[in-house]
Amino acid sequence: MQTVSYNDEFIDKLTPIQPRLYKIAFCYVKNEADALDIVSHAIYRAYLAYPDLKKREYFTTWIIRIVINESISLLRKRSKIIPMEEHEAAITTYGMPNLAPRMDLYDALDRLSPIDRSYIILKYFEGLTFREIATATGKSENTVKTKIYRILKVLKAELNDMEVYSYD
Amino acid sequence: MINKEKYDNIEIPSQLDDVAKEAIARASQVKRHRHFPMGAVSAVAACLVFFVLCNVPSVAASMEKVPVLGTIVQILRVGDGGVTTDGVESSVSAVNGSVRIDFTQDGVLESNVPHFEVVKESTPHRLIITLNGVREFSFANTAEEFKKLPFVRDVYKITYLDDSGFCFAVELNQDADYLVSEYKDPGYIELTLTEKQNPGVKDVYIVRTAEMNMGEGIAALCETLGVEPSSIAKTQSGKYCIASKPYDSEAQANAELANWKALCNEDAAPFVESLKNDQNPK
Repeated sequence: MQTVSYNDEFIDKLTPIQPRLYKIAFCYVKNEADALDIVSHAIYRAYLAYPDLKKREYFTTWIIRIVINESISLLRKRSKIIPMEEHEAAITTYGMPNLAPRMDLYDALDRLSPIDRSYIILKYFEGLTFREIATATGKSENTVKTKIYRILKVLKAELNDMEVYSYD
Repeated sequence: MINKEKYDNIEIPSQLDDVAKEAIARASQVKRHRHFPMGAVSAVAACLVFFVLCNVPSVAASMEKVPVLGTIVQILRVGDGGVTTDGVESSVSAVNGSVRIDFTQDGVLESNVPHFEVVKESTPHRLIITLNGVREFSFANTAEEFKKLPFVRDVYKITYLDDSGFCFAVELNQDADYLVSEYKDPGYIELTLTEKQNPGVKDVYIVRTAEMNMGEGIAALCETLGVEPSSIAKTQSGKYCIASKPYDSEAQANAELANWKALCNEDAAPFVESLKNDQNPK
């Protein structure tokens, strides 16, 4: 009986946020197959670890953190085996001194390190508060604020026409 | 214009539900096959280890410095752990070939460790340890204790652009295996270095900046380049530079160099260096 209620509780919490988890994963890999793979691994890990989650009210930020970790882990693995052609294409885009002036924040994600991407996705796309981001990333609230400020500063220097500052 | 619409309009694939169900089914199958509660297994193992260790006089003597044995949370070779904290003090002690980092607040041992990260880099081989949510940190004590470990030849502080965290590098005289164990109740981190079987030395290429002093300038340049502070390496002359991951071919390094040149100012003057993977940059 305990297994049934555990299972049901997990599914009840998971089902409404599944699309959010997929979108977060998608922002890292920008393709459906990998994003589904990340979500699958994250749900698998989360299900096994769920009994140890003491504060069930933090389920959403907790599982988002697992998705982020899985996404970063996949990108790190990929970076070791990235084909040369793909690698050259990636760095050519990344290193272009004349940036597209109207590049938006969604596209700018590709220019950020996997860890920095998490902050932008959670703050500007998922609309999480600094406190929630701190819980999801395991950093202090002050660290999160500093980090987001610095990422935006770097992006501002690179992207001339991005109107992110109204969100500060 | 941040273009949140693009994010909102990411199409949700129809098979997402099935993928989730399949993951849950797989996990619940694994769960059913766990015959023993993991807690009980851990407790028995911990008691057994404790009993054996207490009967070895040299180990028992060194354990006098260890106030309490905690419960193991995770063992990792790379990655992060811990929970969000603020204003924690840390202290480091070398015990029996390992280094243990304890955390206190107002003199009381913390039950969990603050968020931490351990990264392994080469050229030269080094571990970079970052502690977040820590305000009090004695670098002198940390360096002194870490230098008691085998393979450690240098320990240096890395400027971390966040006043609630600390970052430092532990440089090794050869490639070594390491194990980081995270404990709770009380929360502490234990790091052990062991000899690596067949530590291969090979020729590699790195992209690196000119030599600089450690400080906010080099830390800010890491952010400009989109690399982590763990990319800061000590040079042979005792200064510092930002170094890329090692590449097997010069062509790969040159491709990355174009990237760096586009992002660095003239002072940073990035270039490609050829060296052994266990050497410090020149």
